[in-house]
Order: sequence, then structure tokens, then C-alpha cells
Amino acid sequence: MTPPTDFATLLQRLLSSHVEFILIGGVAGNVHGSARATYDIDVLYRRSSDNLARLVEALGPLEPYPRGAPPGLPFTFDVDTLRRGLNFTLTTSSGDIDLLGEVTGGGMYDDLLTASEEVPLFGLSCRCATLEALIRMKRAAGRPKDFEALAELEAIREERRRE
Amino acid sequence: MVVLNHRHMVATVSTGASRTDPVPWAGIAGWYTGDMVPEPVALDPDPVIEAYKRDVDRTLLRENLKLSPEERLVKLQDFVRFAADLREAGRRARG
Repeated sequence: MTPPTDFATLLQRLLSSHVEFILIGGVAGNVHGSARATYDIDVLYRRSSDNLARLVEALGPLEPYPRGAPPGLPFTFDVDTLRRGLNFTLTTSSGDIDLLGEVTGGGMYDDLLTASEEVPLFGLSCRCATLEALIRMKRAAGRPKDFEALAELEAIREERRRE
Repeated sequence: MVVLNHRHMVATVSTGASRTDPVPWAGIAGWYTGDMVPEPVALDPDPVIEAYKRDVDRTLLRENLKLSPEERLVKLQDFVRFAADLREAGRRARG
């Protein structure tokens, strides 16, 4: 059984290894005040060779494996694997993490960089997509399952403006 | 009849067209591109999302907004662990 995702451990490992990434998705929504439960971490990572190596260094010890895939696949979490793919939905010994090279409505890491901000988390500074960027991504995804989340993010924006 | 329709169309739509528009109907609020494919229309506010927004628990959001980002994540972590405990308890109960 997959353990519950340990958000602190995963983020601390990424940050301590100086991985260039932007926190997006449900956890980023929670950072901005969302009350919706989410069970994995979504990160938009930079596709440079150095950064892929840092990703492997950070997450390799947690034995990442494709989520939902049958056991026994010849999957090796290394730079070559990351270079050959783009978006990876993984499970690790510290829970589930999605590594995204590109995301609808946000583009790639460098595209989203200007729409992100540094947020203090667990004694470290984590780059997180802005509330506006999260709204834009949810809108671009246009999936019915995201309507509730989008409504909540827009409500957060309204509440912030009211403060 | 065809000529009449054509003239009628031009007269109707040309109010929004500039003199530089290549075709007389190009000024219809950008509805038509050169290959006549309608562009997506962004509704702001989106009435569907506005409808969903009525069900958002704003008291919960206001409480969350009083917390620091880290406190919000710790709260999420506590919930995720609690949900995992519940799942495990349910699994055991089913044998």
C-alpha cells in the first residue's frame, strides 16, 4: 500500500538538493489557502541536464516508480529516463509526486517563473505558482473535475482582495 | 436575391470594420479569422464557475487565510494522514 504522501519530506529533499522547480497543483492551492484535500505533490521542473541530475539525487533514494504500473517493470530513475520523458507520475517511499516538464496553461519552468513566488516552507524557501497562475492553469485545463477547485481559487482571490 | 443578401450582410456588419479590414465582415468583434474558424470566447466571469462558487465554504477559506503557508501545509498533512488511517482501519475491518 502506498504510504500517505509526506509533503515536508518530499519538498525538503527537493529544496536541499537545489532542484529548480515550481510547486503547482493542489498543494500549491493549499499554500494559497485552499481547503481541498490533495494526496500528491505536483512540481514543474526545469529540464536542464544539471537539474535532472539534482532531481535524481533528491528523489532517487526514495525509489520512485511509475504510479499504478505493475511491479517488476525495468524502470530506472536516472537522468536518461528523465531526459527521454517529460511528465512522470511517480510513487515513492514518501508518497506520490508528479514531475511535470510542461503543464497546460503554464508552459515549461522558464515560462512560469515570472508567475511564481518564493514561499517560506519548513525552514526553506520554495518557489510556488502564484494564485493567478494556478487559476490560469485550471482554466486552461478546462476539465469538469476542476470546476470546484477553480471556483475555490477564485473565491480565495476575492477574499484576499476583501482583506 | 443573392446580390440583395450580400449587400444586406455588408451593410449590417460593416459598422465594426475598419477601412483597412481586408473583408467587409472582418470587424465582427473578431468572430471570424481568415479561415473562418470561430475563435474561443472567454467568459469573464464564467457563469459555470460562478455557479460553483456559491457552494464554496468561505468561512473555511477565511480561517485558512489566517494561517501561514507552512501551517496550511501542516493542516493538509494531518488530514492526509488521518485519511490514510481511516483507509487502513476500513481495510482491517473488512478482514
